[in-house]
Amino acid sequence: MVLFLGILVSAGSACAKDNSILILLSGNEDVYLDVATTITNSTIKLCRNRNLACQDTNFEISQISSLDNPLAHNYRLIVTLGIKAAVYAEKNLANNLILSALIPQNSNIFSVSHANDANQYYFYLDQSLHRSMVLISALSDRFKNIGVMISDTDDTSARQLESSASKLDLKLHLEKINSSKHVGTSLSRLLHSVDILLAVPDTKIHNKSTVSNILISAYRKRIPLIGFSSAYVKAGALAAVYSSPEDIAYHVRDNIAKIYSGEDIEAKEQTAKYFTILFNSEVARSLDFPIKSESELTDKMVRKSKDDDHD
Amino acid sequence: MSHTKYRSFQIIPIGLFLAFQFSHARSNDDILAVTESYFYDDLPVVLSASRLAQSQSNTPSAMTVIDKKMIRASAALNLPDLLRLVPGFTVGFFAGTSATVTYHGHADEYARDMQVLIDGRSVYDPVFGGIPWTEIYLSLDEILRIEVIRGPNAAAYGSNSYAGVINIVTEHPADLTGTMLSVTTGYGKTRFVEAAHADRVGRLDYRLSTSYKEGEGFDNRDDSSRTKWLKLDSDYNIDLNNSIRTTLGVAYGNYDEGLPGLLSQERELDNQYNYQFVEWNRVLSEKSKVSLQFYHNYYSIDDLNRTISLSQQISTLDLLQGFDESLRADIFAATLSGGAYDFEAFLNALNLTDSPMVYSWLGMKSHRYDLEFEHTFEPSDNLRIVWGVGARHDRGESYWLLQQDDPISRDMYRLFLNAEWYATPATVINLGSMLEKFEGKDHVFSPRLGINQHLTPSDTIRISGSRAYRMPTIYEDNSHVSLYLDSQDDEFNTWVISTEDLEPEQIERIEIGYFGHYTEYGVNFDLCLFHEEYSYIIDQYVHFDIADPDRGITDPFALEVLSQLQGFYQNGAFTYTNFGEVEIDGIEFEIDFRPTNRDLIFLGFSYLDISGNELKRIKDGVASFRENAEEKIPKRTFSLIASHSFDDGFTASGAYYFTDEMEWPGEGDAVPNFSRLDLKLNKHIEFSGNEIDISLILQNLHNENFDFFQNEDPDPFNVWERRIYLQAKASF
Repeated sequence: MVLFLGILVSAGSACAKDNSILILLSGNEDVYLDVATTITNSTIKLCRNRNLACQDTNFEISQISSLDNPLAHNYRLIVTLGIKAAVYAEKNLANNLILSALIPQNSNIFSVSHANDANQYYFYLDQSLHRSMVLISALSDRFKNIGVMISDTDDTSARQLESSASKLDLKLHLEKINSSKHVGTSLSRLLHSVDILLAVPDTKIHNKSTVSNILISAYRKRIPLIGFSSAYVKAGALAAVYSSPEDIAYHVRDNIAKIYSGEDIEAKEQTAKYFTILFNSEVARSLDFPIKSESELTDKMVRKSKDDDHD
Repeated sequence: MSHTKYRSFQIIPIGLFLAFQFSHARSNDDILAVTESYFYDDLPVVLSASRLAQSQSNTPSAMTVIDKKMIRASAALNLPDLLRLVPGFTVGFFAGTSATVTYHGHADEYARDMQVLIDGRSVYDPVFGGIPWTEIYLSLDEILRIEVIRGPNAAAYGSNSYAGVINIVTEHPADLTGTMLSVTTGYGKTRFVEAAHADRVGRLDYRLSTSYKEGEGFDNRDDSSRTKWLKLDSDYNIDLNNSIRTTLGVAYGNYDEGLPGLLSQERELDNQYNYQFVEWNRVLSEKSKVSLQFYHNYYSIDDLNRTISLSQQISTLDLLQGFDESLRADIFAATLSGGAYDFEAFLNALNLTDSPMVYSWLGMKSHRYDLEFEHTFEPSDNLRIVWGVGARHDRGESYWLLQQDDPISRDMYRLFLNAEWYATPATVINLGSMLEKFEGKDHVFSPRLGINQHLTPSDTIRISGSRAYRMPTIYEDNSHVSLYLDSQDDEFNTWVISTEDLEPEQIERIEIGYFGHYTEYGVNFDLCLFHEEYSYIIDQYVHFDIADPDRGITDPFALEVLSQLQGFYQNGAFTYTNFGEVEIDGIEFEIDFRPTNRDLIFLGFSYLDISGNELKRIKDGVASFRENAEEKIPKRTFSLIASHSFDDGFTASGAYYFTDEMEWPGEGDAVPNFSRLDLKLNKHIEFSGNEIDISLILQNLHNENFDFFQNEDPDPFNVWERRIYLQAKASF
């Protein structure tokens, strides 16, 4: 992968033109490369299908640590992946059109940057909380009481969850937590009264130190847990709706196509457009929960979302 | 959603391998800022396949799960009462707080037909058999789930997992953090106080609890009790892959026991019970884990009786009440000897003293030490195996029951293997085997084979067969219970004596079952048809040809008079033999319906067709039998529990239990059918993270029931009347 990156970087540096797109990576982890390569391949394919100019665009992939800064200004578009790349671009490449993806919403990068003034757009990797709630509905009509732990300062999530619960006719049991120390107590309280737990991204509540215990405690009570990442599902959650590298890449691809076809980008900040579902069959089997196929769940969620739209 | 194999597929080790680490979570200040890596970094695999419990639809045996909601809905105040919910189960209280619980009956005060495990620790008593239900007390609050396997399962749970297995899983201390106080008062001057505190210190989660309970028991009977308990449950998390669970407990009980009568006199028992359990769990990989556990149970009953002196006993005889008290002993002696002896000569000739009789029916001390190693692993994605080895040392000590000062011990070694194989995605084959070698007995091999075929994700058919053994208890193998004159050096009359080298009882069961699991409708349905064959049943019978001690007398006439005197107490002696056989064909079903999170309906039913015989007595070398197995096992049991929670925190629940008429073996009587209606009203209040529950509990609302005994002389006793209790509980 490092070799591949090196070839691309050198090739890109040699033939950078105004029509080129730079994909700027925050680091050399697989996730950045997966997103970057999918953006490249899928964008070219989409642009060919639509006969847009971007079909002949050169894509250069570079890490911020190895970026040739002067050349960067020659790109028509810069796509940044990850917070570091987004911040770097905002500070150093502000004259370019920038699409910043692979960014968690809670990073607050938008509010601390000058994004409102700059030509920079943010594509969050978080799935909307409503989508997780829809997944719960899609899993079973039996899940009526949803337990969620959130930070006591996280009013935004609380509002979103309450609104979603109301739309889906679910009962929300919120435990607001002001310290990691109280996760155990709050969880015990929740597990008495809920049908399912929903994990909301929050490092104070769900981190490497607590996830094991949350999963074990919930499992002891036979309460399934919905995670927010594939890693959470692999660790023992029943299911999760999350943004895969492909989902993030396709979201960026769609916006590149818009730019090349002269359309406006809808919003400065965008939540995840595409989603992936992962279902843990082994956990389901142990809980005597019917095993669901991920495609079936996806279809069900899409149908439910459409129903919501009609409502 | 449960685990039939405590060895491999249960949740407890899962909870142990990683104790709670909330305490080690980063504080608010040093939490990492959210970055994309938060969503894409790997997490440790917590619920890997090797740690997951086997679901109910994949278990090869009929199983009833009593979970927290059922426990809360129930008006039960103790563990045996909860077990009335299980189809085919019979519960009897032979004293106010002393219970016996059996599956398919045929059990006395010490039901020896079932294994009972609390978090993997067997609480079966090795001397008498059965379970000291009062001493092993668990607060209903600390029980997470009770899994009752109906039918033999020695292949997974070891010897004495004979007619059934009760697997009790308690709450992890980390799940009960805070302080709890509970007070219950009501019928029979019941005063019951519980207090518990759970917290974590560094890597240690612990729960310390104490309880005190007193009550007068049944009316018209002196069976009041006073019991106190102290328990510590802890889980120490060494690191991500290693943890040590420790539980310690001690109980002291003082019980009024007995009934008016010379040899069943009312008296006080002082019981002690303590246990120590430690288990080390180590996760080797996602597909492999090992555990090593050791425990010790100690149980003692202090029970010693002294009657009035021999002459005083004679003075109380009905036939002599017309005579002057000073003459009664002489008249008795003369009558018995055809005028040859007055009382003094009678004593001299029979080598007697005018002393009280001394005896004990229950006094003993028992120990069980158990060590076990277990390894669970997955050689392939569709195969899970657990194997292990174990050793056990049981010890019983009682001069009064075993007539020897030295303890009697028995060692046992075992090797077991269980496999769960997904032959196809819809076919699960469960294979189990247990090889055990008991000291002084031939080795026994207990196999089990089950096939579960999932017709649809919601419908499962199972077919299984298993064989299991029940080893004779130390008491059955070695009993020697006698009346002594004044001291243990002077044996007068033999009551119970073991005369044979007993073989283990054997049960074979085949069953075909259907399990329906309709998640969308909140319905679980289990139907089971089975055939059981019990053989080599250890029968207690009266052997009239067993002679009482001759007291060193050689004169034939004096021996004859002595024999007549001894006959006043008991002719011959009770003893044990492998004789009885029982066959049961039955159908059992249960429905668990939870249409919403607030509603619960559970219904259980059992119908048995029973035949069998037992040895009644041997007299003058002639044995007599009785074909009355069906009288000792209730033909039908029925249980129903329903509960609804309202918006304002009120929960109303009701339960109805029915057990057909039956004759309790041992000291028990034939009793008419038992039907009981309970109601419970609970108000739950929450404020500022604190919780208060106030419950009104009404038991046996609609009629009176005889329990275990049906003796109306002079007044009926062991009668269930209407019972009312008030319970208040605060958690903060």
